[in-house]
Amino acid sequence: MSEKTNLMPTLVGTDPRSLQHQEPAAEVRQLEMPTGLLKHIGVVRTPHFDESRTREEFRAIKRYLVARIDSEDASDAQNARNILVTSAAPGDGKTTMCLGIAMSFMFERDYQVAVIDADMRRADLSKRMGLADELGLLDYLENEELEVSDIVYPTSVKGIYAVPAGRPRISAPELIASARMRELLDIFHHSGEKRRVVLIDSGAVLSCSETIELAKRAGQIVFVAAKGQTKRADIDEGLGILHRQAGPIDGSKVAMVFNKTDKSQSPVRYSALR
Amino acid sequence: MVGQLLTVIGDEARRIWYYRWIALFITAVIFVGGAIYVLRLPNVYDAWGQLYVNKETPVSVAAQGVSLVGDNFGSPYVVQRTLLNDQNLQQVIKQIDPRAASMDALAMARAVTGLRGHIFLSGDQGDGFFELHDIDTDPQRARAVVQTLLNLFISQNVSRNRDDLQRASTFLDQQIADYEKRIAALETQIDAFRRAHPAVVTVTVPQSTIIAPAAMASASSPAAASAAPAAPTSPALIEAQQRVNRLQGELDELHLRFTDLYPDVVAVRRQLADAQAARDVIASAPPPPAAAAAPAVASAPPSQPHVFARVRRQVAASVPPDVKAQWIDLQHSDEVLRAADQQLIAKRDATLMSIAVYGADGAGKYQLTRAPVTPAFPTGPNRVLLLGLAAVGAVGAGLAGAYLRGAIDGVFISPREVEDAFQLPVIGTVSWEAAWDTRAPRRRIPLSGPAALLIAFVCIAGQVHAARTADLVTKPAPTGQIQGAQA
Repeated sequence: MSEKTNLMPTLVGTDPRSLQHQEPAAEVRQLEMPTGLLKHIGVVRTPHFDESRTREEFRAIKRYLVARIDSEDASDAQNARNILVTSAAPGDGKTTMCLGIAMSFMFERDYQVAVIDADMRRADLSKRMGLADELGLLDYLENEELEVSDIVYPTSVKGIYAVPAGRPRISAPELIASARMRELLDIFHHSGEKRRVVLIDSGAVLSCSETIELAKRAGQIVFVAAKGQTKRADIDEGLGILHRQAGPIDGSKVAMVFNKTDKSQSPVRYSALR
Repeated sequence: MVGQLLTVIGDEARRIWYYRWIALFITAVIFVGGAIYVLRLPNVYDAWGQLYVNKETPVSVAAQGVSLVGDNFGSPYVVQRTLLNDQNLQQVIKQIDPRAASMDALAMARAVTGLRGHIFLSGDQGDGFFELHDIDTDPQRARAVVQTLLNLFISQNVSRNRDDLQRASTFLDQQIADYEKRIAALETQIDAFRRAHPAVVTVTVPQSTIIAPAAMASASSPAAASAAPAAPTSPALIEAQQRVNRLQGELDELHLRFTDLYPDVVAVRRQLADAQAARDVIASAPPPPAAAAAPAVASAPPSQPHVFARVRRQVAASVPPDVKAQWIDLQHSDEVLRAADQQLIAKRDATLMSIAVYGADGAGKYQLTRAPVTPAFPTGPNRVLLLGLAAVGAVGAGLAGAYLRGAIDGVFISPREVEDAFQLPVIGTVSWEAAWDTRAPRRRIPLSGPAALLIAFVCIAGQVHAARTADLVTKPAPTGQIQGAQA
């Protein structure tokens, strides 16, 4: 059990049932790490990092997503709990955004989060969590002998679980589009007592075709645009692709997050350094 | 409104700030280029000479009002136009540039244009002083240009004035001779007319034209001789007639220069009509009883002018209207010709006086008060100012470049732009905090190692020095060595 207290997930909790049986003591101990959770998970690390402000920024995004989930009826709510984080081009901060939102969910009493690394080109999330060489999503989709518990890794953060990308395959888009992927999402939503949110860290729309398939199954799409970096033409094209191939794109399904802004542009302007 | 404007300004400032490295690069390149250009600019020297154009020579003061030389003769405009013409500049180039002999027309035109570009004349402030400046990179050449131009100006203007005045004098002499011929012809014509029509001598318009013909007619014609005493002899009538004559002369003179609608002409004409009416009233006044009954005009004494006036009116009434009109026309022409002749004579006198003033050598007109010298210190360029302008321009270009780059890239700077562009909700922003994999840790210069080595070296050196000093102090030297040393 001592392995579960490590910062990075281990293969100890590969059984899906382990998602429901974690030791509170270990979780609390991790939360009280003096250097800050966000820093430890690799999201940010600066000398004067204002964690409270960043936390509030992610919390504002999370509240919007949760409000959407709560506003849906039973059938659509499950769909709305599949949240796809994508962008038009690589490097806009999808993985950071995904991790930040996931970390923000750790304070939720009624939610658990499964973070799926579906960026088959870079698998940045898996690398950050040290799961790059572990069994992952593509392995599960291709090998029907694998169980969900084989690819779900509990993290040191309460209520957050990780699914790495797995070993890269040339047939990744087809595997993502398969029925087994849909079944995987259903398993996430129908197991456990708490409501589960699936955060899918996908590749950029203009670089990965599997993002289109994931967008079809996502009830909410968080489209990340980076300040001074993401070009308008790319966003136009990316949204156009999603609109044409993954259903109508409107404000009820797609929300945008402006990343890498100045502190002066943040809605959280009165935060205290902690 | 102000808030929106500030928001837009803030967004654009952020856009520029986002591309600050481009702005900095452009600024640095342009400033460095501009600074190199400014620092490599050659020094320029200002050679100048001062010229005094005297408008108030003693003779010119005496000739004021009659001199033909106007006040504008020495104005900066005239000086500049006469001095900096192509001919003068070509002469200057030929004198100072040894390559001028081999220049074709195009090269010479370019050289003239270039030379004119750095010559300027500081204006006269009313005191008659002019300064001619030439700004050039070669101080010797600048001085030579100014010197040559001043010499040309003085010599040309002196000779030009003399020639002009001489031509004017010759022209006026011809005009005066012509007018005298015409006056003589007209007098002959008047004499013939008077002989043909003796009674017309009583029809007199101006006093000045009636007395002399009447005197001439009295010698040739008995009838005219009988009419000569008909001239007004009453002081009041004479004064009125003189006033009429004077006004008529003024009117004729004005007619030479102005039209009938000119205000002075109208005014003089009105005064003339009034004077004529007053003269007629005086002339029509009843004569004294002793003179009223005397019809014989020939025997009437000169002290009774009213008798002659009445007789003259009676005789004039007997003159046919066409003859009367012809006689008045002849008199008028004579008056005009004589007035014009008098004017021409006055102008000729003025011309002769002007020649006396300026035509001799021009020394009284022009004086070189400061000869150009070779400037010792450069007057330009103002490199500090130019460097400042280059800096301002470079910064502006850098900002413009950054802004253009942002506009070309089409990136977003604020969430408001994103929301406006796609009509999708922007549910949040995440402030930029460099992640562990996006910013490499700053490589600190490992000064601790060299510093430690340096300190260690200093310490060791100090210890060695202290040890050697202690050895020299505490350890006695061998006697032989000391003795040897002393020896």
